[in-house]
Amino acid sequence: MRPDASQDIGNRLIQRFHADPMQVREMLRQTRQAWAEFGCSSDLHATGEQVLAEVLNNVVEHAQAGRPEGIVELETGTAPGGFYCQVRDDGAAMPGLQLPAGRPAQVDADLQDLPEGGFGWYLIRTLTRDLTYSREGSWNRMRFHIVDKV
Amino acid sequence: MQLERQDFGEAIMITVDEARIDAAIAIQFKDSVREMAGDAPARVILDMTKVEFLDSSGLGAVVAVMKQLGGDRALELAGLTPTVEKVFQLTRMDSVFAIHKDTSAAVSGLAHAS
Repeated sequence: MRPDASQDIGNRLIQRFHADPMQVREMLRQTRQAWAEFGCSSDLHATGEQVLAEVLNNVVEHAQAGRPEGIVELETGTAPGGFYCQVRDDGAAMPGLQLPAGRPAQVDADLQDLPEGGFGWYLIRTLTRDLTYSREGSWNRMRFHIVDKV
Repeated sequence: MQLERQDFGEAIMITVDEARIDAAIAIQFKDSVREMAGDAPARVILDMTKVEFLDSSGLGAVVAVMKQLGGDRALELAGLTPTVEKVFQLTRMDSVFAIHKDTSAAVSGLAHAS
C-alpha cells in the first residue's frame, strides 16, 4: 500500500496509511487540503487537525503499537456546521471496549509531578461532537464531528 | 531538529525553527532542547514564534523540558501562535508557564551577550 492511496469522492476523502508518525503528518496535510476544498473555515481546520492528530497518534502509539504494517483508514466529509471524521484501524481493541474518559490533567501540582501526557483524550473530548467508538471484527472504528461553536 | 540559541546573560533564548512539534519529533525536541540548555542560567526562554502546530506529545515534551531544568531554572515561553496558545489554554498548562507575548517582551531589560 502506498502512502498516497487516497480517494476523493466529491465532498468526501478516504485515505489509507500505515501506522507511522511521519505518515500521520502526511495524512493530516492531505486532510487539511481536503477541508480547504470543502470550504470549511480555517478555525475549523485548526480544531480538526488538533483532534485528528491526537486520534491518529493514539492509534499509532497504542492500538497499532509495534505494528508498523498496521493499517489506518481515515474518511472525512462535510456535515452540517462542519465535517465528520471516521478513523478505522486493524489494531488492538480499546481496553474495556470504550474510549478513555479524558479527564483534564492536574496542573496545580509540584513541578516534578506535572503530567507529561494524558492531554490527548481531554482535547479530543473537548473539541468533538458525537464521538463514538465501536469494535467491528478485527477493526476499531471511531467517528466524530467537528463543528463551529463547540 | 532546528534550534538556535542566543545568550542574554541571566537568560538564554532558544528559538524553535520548526513548524510543528508533534509526535514525530517530540522526543528529539526534548533531547535537543535539554542538550542546548544544559549550562543555561536561571531563565530559559523558548521562542515558539515559528511553531504553528503542537499536539499533546509536543506539549508533553515542553513540560518534560521544564522538569529537567529543575527547580532552580525556569522555562518561559514566548511568541505562541494562536493554535498553540489554544492548546495551552484548553489543557490549563498556560497557568504553569510564564508566557510572554513575543520575544522582545521576554528579553526586555536584558543585554544581548552574543
